[in-house]
Amino acid sequence: MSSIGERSVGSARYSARVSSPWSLEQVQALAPDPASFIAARRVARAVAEAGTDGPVIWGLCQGSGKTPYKTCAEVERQLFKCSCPSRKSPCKHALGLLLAWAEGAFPAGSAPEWAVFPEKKAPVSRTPSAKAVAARQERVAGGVIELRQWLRDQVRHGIAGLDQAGYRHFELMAARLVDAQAPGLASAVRSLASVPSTGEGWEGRLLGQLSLLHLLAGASSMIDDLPPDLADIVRVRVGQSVPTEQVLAGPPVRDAWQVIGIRDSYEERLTVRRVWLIGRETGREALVLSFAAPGQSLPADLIGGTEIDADLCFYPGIRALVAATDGVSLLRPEGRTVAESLRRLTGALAEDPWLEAWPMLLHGSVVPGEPWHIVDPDGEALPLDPRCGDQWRFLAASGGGPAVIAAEWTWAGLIPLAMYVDDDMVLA
Amino acid sequence: MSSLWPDLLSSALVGLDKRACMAPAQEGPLVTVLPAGELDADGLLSAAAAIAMARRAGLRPVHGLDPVRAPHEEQEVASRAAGVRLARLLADADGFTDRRTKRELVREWLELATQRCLLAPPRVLVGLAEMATSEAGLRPLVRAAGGHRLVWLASHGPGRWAWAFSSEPEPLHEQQWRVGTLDERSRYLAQIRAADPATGRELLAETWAQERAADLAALIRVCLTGLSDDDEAWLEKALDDRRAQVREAAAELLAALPASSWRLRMAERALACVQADGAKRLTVVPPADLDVSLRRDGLSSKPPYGLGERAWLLLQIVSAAPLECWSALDAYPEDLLARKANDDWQPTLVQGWARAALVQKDRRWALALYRCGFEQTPPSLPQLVSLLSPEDAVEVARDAVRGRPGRMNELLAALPRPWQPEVAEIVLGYLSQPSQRQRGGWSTLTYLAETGLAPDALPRVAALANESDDDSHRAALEQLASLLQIRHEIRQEFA
Repeated sequence: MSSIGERSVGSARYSARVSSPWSLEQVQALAPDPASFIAARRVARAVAEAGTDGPVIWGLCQGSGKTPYKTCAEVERQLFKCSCPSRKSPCKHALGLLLAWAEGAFPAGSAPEWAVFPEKKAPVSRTPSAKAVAARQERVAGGVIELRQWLRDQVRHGIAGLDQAGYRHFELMAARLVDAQAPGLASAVRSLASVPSTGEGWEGRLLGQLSLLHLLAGASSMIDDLPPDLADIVRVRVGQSVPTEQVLAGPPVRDAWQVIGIRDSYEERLTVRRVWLIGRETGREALVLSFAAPGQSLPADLIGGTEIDADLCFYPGIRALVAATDGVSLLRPEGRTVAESLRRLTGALAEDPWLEAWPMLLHGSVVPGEPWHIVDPDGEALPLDPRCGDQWRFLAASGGGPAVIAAEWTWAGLIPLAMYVDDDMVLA
Repeated sequence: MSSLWPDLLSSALVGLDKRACMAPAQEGPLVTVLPAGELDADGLLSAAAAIAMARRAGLRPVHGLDPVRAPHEEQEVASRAAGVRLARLLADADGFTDRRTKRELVREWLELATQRCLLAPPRVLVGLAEMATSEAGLRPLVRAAGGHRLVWLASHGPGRWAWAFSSEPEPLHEQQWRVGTLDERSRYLAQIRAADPATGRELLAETWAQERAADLAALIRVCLTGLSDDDEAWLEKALDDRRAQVREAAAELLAALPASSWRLRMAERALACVQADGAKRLTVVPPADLDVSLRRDGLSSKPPYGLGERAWLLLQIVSAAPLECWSALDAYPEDLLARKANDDWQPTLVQGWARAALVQKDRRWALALYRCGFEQTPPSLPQLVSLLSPEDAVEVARDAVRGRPGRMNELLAALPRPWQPEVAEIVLGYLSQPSQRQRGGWSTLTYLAETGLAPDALPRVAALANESDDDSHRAALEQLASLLQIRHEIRQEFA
């Protein structure tokens, strides 16, 4: 996964962030693009009349003109304001202000007028009417019928030529599912389009994906007969959105949540950030997702290599939201054996057969080869996804010896996220 | 369980309409979920889903793989703070992304580490290896700071890291001398010459007649290893070779032998071409053409573009003649350089002296040429300046900021860095004069000063930045100050 390696800080220091309110890496993670961060370094050296008032920080940042820009930020909610004309958020001045604040102390004071942020608005929750719900269900059901027919057609007519069919073949079906208000099924169909380009053996992989989609469509059409937990999973997989308030109203799971690894990817014009967590006490796995449109930054509140005392509220399945955080500390993770990790994966698949990714925290060594493997002290090994490329950084840092390795399981193999060795976190 | 899968896949590939799928009665754990008999599309997809799911949920670990372990390290690793710093430098996390600055900061880190026999932390080795792969100048330092771990890593890693193997490659065998590539043969010969020059000499003599001209020239140049007066005889013989490449290579080696008769011959020729005419003038009479003896000594008759044939001969002779021979005309190079040559020979003559000064690394001549305002190339003036002694460097720096603003940065860049205190003082003095800020090259100078100044100049630079009332100049000084700050911190992290 060279693209990840290039984007991330080669080998992040994670001991500094705990002592200061925000670390440099945290600010860097907020930058919408690398150039903004470099520009912000220059801004940070000349922030004037800076101050802090609770979660609000402000300062005057010199731009190219005579009058300095008035820049302020509310660090808890990650809100930024600046009088500069840039449309990036945060702009380089806001980043520079954050940098100056992260690297030194600001005097406390009361915020000037221009540095006041409005109170958080209470979310307007709208419960859809019974009629709207019924209409939606009908549309989804129609989409599912169409999808099942489409899937049957694929195997009746043969999938051998689909490597030549291009994206359009899948896009038409996906568009119909979007119309049918089943965005989950739509993106599942869309993701099929890339399978024929995954190299040798794509036919078997495509049949596997088609069959699992068929299983999902079948489950959706008999949703009232499913056990409640599985029915919830199916609804989410089909694409029914669960309102944030509803998730947060569910029972919180308190734990020392270990932020074991973070992976950003670019999907359907959005940057998607996957933050993988594993509870130290409960052993439970969790995924916190966030999205950013081009030019916007992703939230940087969860930092890889830390452990947060927090309440997590779960969507059906593995996805969760952080409801409340009490403290952050350094992560010193303990890995699991391959056997134990596989046991947990099997359990997870029993609950959600359509899982595409699952976090693993393995105690083991990386072994170079085609493909690379992670081998645990019992001599049991799992292969890495060959598309992730070589993990020389991991091999160098561990010297081939045992370490704790965070990875994301996928059907193509493990995607390495981070290695914890000698009190350091090394990113893949 | 998956005996059914190939049947499912082949039907799905060509299409169930063309190829029906018969599922035999199943046994084993999936018996309850796998259908039997002829499958329709739904049946095929259901069966495939059951098998795909069983494969995922029943993923088996791989056995029989052993970890590869790095050798034990005797040297200690640099402090944690220093290691974190290096990781940040390599990752551009300090916001300095220009390649040269990054390289110089990494170089400084590596120098401080190797002076203290400390290693770079293992987790940055990949970053260092990649950087040194493109920046060959860093390789010796990276090898020293990489320890056994780097060599071990390179032995598993991609071929582009092969430079990490110890500077002494595997000893080669005689077999490779006889049938190897030119590169292998050169390395074998160098290896023999280093241990026993005479044996190497004999080795080359044995195959002399069969060698192609280009190979032989390359192998002769290899004999620079272990070169001594004992080699003069065979090199003189090589001058009788009819192949020009061979003669040129032999002449190069003879030029490197201080007492060779080749050098004496060149001195004689030079003094025959250039004669004193009173106290102020020189009479220059280059050879009319390339005669047999000049040709034998490796000179060529094909001038580079823009030079006449006789001027080219003069240039070759003067460049090759030992500079000491000119004391026959004047005791000091300055006096010789002050003389005027007849016709248009002066520029060629001075260029020959400059080339000789560069090849013979003659500080006295380099200074004299600098003082007489040498401007031709090659060699360039900065090349000559880089030969100067530290005391003379101060003179260059003073001239550079006063008299030669156009060439200021070029000259200061040629002085050994970090600059000695006197030179640093001159640069700081220049940076502190507000009037100079409007002149060209000012910001380039701050750029040079990033590595030229010692970190202890930081308070002075910071003060200059504070006093400045011009935004862009203050920004340049602040950039310089923050770089010096980083260099200062790097040193402290090693304290």
